[in-house]
Amino acid sequence: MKMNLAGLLVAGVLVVAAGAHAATVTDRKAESARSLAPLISNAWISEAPPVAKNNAAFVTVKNGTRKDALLGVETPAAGAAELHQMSMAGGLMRMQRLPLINLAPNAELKFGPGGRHIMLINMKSPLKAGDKVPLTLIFRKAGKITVEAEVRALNIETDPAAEHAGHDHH
Amino acid sequence: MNKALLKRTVLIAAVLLVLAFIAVVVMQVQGKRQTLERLPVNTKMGGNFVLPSTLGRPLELASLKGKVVLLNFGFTSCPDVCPLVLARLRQVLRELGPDAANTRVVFVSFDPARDTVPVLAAYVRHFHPDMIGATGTDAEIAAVAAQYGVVYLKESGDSAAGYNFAHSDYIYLLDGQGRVRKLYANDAKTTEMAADVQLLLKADAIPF
Repeated sequence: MKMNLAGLLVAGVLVVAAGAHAATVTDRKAESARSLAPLISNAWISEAPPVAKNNAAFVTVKNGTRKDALLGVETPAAGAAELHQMSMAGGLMRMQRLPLINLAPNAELKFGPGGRHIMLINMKSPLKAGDKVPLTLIFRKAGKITVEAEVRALNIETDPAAEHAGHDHH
Repeated sequence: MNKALLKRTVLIAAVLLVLAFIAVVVMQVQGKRQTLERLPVNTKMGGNFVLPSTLGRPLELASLKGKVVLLNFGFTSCPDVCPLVLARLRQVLRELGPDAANTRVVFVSFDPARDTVPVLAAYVRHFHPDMIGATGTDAEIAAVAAQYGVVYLKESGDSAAGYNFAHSDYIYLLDGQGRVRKLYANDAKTTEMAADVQLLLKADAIPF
């Protein structure tokens, strides 16, 4: 009798433990699937002069919980696309090609004018503001993710302090 | 009114007029001196130059006498910063309103191999019909760059775009006599540039 009860108890615990473990694994897998893919937002391309052979695309990447790396970009709008970093050092503006950009878990990677850009090389045809162009980002783990980039005119906003500019200061 | 009173009235009016005239002249000379303090003449750099240009004839800087010039050096294969500078200068022209007629933006390319005059013309005109593009032989450009302290280094990286340039990137403010009055960083506020242009145009308008 005692043996049976003990056995039942052990069996019960084992079953519950196994069930709990299985549930956790399934939950974790589901959660992983949801948080694995990087989120890409604010993809845009500047409206360059039609004669310009090269152009720049910008994007914001929010990485999932998995360590990853951005390896490159593809787009039908250009012959080639590369990752580049602008920097100002010693009074010189420099551009450096990046073979890849590492992405820590949950890291946010922002591309913007004067900083990082996706250099579009040998544009196939001129782009106009409002055009939509597919941009495919290639990640080491997440693979290829395609987003629609919007072409935006390069409009410099007037500085909000403008009301006081132009007045003579005596 | 008798003749004596009339004579006196006219005399007082004349004196007041002369005083008013003197006051105006003094105020204007004050204003001109203040502009000189705000935007001192840079004696270390600048000077006239002649370069093939998008005008259909060579551009001689001195021919822009009387106009304020915003001068920038770059190359059209630059994907990010150079177009941004020209877009910024376009915005300055917009903010200047009617004063834009007496302002010229000049873009000099240190990449004549790729930036021929027709390419430059199409490039600058995309931003504004009055923007002027200029280039030349490597030697001609090197000479002008030296005049304005421009540093540009051709770099061949591992890019499909071929070579590019590491370069200094200032916007030079030149007055109506072609003298350098200020250097702006390539992200300078458009309102600051427009205000300075207007100061120079105002000072230039004062004959004394």
